[in-house]
Amino acid sequence: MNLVRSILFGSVSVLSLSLAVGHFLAGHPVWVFVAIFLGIFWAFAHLRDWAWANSLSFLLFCITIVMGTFFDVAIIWLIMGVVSALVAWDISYWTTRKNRVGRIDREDIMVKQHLRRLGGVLVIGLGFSLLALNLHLTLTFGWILILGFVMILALSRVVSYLRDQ
Amino acid sequence: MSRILFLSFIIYSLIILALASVNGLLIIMVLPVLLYLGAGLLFGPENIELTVERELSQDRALPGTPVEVSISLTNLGERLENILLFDQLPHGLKLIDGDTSLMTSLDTGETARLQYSVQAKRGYYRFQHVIIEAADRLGIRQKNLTLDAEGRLFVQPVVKSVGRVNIRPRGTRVYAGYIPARKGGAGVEFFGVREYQQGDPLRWINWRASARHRNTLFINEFEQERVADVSIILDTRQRSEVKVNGGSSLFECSVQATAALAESFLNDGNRVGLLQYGTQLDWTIPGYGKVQRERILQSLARSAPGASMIFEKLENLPKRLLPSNSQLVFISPLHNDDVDILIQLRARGYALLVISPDPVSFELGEIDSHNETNALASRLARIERTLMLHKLRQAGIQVLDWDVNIPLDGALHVALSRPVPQVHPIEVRT
Repeated sequence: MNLVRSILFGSVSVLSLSLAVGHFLAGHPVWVFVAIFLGIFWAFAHLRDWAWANSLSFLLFCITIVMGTFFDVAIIWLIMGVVSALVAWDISYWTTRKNRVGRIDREDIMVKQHLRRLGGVLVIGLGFSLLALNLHLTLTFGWILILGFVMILALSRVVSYLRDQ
Repeated sequence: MSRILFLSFIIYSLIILALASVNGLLIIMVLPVLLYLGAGLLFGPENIELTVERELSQDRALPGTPVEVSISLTNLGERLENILLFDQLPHGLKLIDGDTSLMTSLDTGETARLQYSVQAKRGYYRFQHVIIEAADRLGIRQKNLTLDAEGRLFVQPVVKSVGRVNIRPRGTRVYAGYIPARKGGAGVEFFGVREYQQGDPLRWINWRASARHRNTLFINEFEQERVADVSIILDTRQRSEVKVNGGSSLFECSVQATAALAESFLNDGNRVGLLQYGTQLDWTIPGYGKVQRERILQSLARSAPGASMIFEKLENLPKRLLPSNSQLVFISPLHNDDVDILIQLRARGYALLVISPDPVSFELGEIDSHNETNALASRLARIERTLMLHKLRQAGIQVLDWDVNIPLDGALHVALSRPVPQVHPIEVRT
């Protein structure tokens, strides 16, 4: 479906350009090239149906974003990058999953429902991120302990779920 | 790699890095990813209750005939947002229309249908199960299931009509049929003369013989015609298979001949059994009529050449399975070491008809016969085969040296029009 493909290429372009612009404005030309190269690689991998390249590209972009936080890249470019990377990764996966089957029932409806869910999740995520930008909390040791405990609990749940699988 | 694991790895790495470097921006970066993962876990399938049913438009088909396969997947549990259904085609089936996989979403009680058409060569095909992958819309949380969806398809050999095959076994059964029973009674062919007994029809009186004897009447007797036991032995030994360039197979010709002969004998009311001798002994117990025809065709659908140390030679042919004095039909390209065993069977009182698809002419049809080496080789092979068949004929065995390019019907009637050599069994003194 053209819509899905357009969204994928659009999100990869936004991702690549936002990081490139962010790194350029921060004065790190090497990372500009890295961001552009990764964007081209991801688009090419999609055209060649290299399913293995989706997660790799996503991971490499995450590393680029992390580097951006250390290189004083403006936060708005990084948030835009994270959201675009998630969209691109999600749509790549959807396309891979779709390509595995011969027939799709009610494809239009499924695509719309998928995009609605993805859009909703990302808008909320973006909202939280922007909120977090303006929210300054001072955590006491007790809160940090509780959060650490929640993290360990969540990790154990993930591990047990994966073991069940 | 699981998407949950991958996202968890990224999230934890970022959080740990954020804590280690005291970089709050990294936590902000994590939030959209965390929500994405959370949405997947929240909406992912919990309890999957699916039933699957498979229907085939026919469970018996002829080679090349399209067969429609329909799979119904019904959701008895909670709504499933994204389901992938994969059906696995048994090896040898060819997909000619439709798809064997489907992506859909299913509400509670809803049914999705997958339909496709296949065709195949002769064989037995067993469908076993379908694979289901259920996930949330984002594909984060995924559950895989394998559901049984049994189905079986027999692609039977094409049965060509060969008309009535004239056989003359020593023993017959009690029911009326078309095989001369070597016994006097009601029939068509003159059998002999005997003294008149009360109740005999007057029109059967032989007046010429009666005139020679005072006060005694003689009547004509006719040869009774009855049904007989016919055992067809199909040679499925690997060494009897001839395949040229991976194309057409001589074994397929043997299978088709078996089907045609079984049909002919059953149509005449005979009791027919089938023994496949090769990888193992596959014995279809003798029987009559349409049910037996079906059994034999199903057995032939499964038939395939194979190798076995035990059944490499014919000496392990289980003679006890074969009714005494019955008709045996042996279908094989033949090997030199088969000859003695076949002669022994003849000596035991079996009437033996050997249908031998000719491997020499079969191979010559597929290779360059003008090549000098090939021509010489085929000449030698033909001489060897002629000698072997001559030896069998001398022992009183009916032999059809069948050039498979000629229809079996014509070849059979030419070969069987000759009188059957009368060779009496050797009495073994113990």
